[in-house]
Amino acid sequence: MSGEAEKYFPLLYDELRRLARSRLASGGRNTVLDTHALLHESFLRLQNAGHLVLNDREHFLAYAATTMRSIVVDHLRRRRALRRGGDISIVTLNTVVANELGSSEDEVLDIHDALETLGQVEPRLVQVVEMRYFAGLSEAEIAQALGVTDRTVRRDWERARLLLAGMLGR
Amino acid sequence: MDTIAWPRGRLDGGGETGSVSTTTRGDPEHWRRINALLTEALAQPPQAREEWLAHLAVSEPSVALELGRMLARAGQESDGFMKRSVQASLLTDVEGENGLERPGAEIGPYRLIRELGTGGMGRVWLAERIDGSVHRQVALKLPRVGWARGVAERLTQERDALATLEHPHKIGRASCRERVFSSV
Repeated sequence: MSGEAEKYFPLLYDELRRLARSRLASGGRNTVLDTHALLHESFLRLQNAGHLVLNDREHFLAYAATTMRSIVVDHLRRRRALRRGGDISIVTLNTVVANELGSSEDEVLDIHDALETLGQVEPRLVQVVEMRYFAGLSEAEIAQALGVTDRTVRRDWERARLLLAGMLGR
Repeated sequence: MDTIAWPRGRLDGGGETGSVSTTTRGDPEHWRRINALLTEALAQPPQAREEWLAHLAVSEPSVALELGRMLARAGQESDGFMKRSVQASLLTDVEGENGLERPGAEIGPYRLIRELGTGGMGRVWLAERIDGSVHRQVALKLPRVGWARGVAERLTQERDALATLEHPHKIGRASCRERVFSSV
């Protein structure tokens, strides 16, 4: 993470978690939030509150995507630890989550681990994965944030996805 | 109303290890080489890749095999791997926080009446059939929100195992859009 990203990390981390919780608590049944909407809302809130000197929405999205990855992974690890804590098994199943997620918890955590290696291969691919997979940003948004063309984002994403599949033996 | 049969055993489906050998999985050097080759392969039209792979296989058969598997996914609309982005509903960690479970809520063929208890695994609700096909109340076990491989299968096995027993209390299992749950 760059120095600037580190500076914003705690603020973003708290804000994104708080927003996700309040949305899920007030939503009706079948509430599924998309991370994309959360990122945009948190940007507006932080900017209005004067926390962001960073006017640049594109940079914000790149940092926020990294933060979102941490939030998701921390959460899955906590839940996994809880589940393994007792001597009785905890049954967990929510196919809404499974379907919306498109991946199992284990797969998300495996992808997170494999990204460490990918970062040593080609760091930009990790940024693309964070923005698209963990933050749900569009190709156009990612292209703007990284200062590359949409086509480059598409190609990077495909290559990143294939490499990750290879690393995970899929 | 009878007690609920909770599936036993570890159901989190979790192994920490992936299926790739530990020698290459975290080796950046290996993946830098694979990345370079993959970039080269993807730059070619799809119909030319097979020949390219065959050529590579002469000198490095195992690398060619690895790349062949990866290239088979290239441009495949049907490939589900990482197709959808992670959703923030993952961030809920308190059961029922997302409002799915409340009195009057309908889950599968049941309507929830009131909560009977809560535990590490989930909640148990007093529920009744919506369709009125059976005029009795059931205890409905709703596993904690989350997801684990194999749970549906385990519940099915449990149901099947119980079905072979001669017992005055029958167990049923119903699957609906949102949950797999068992009722007694």
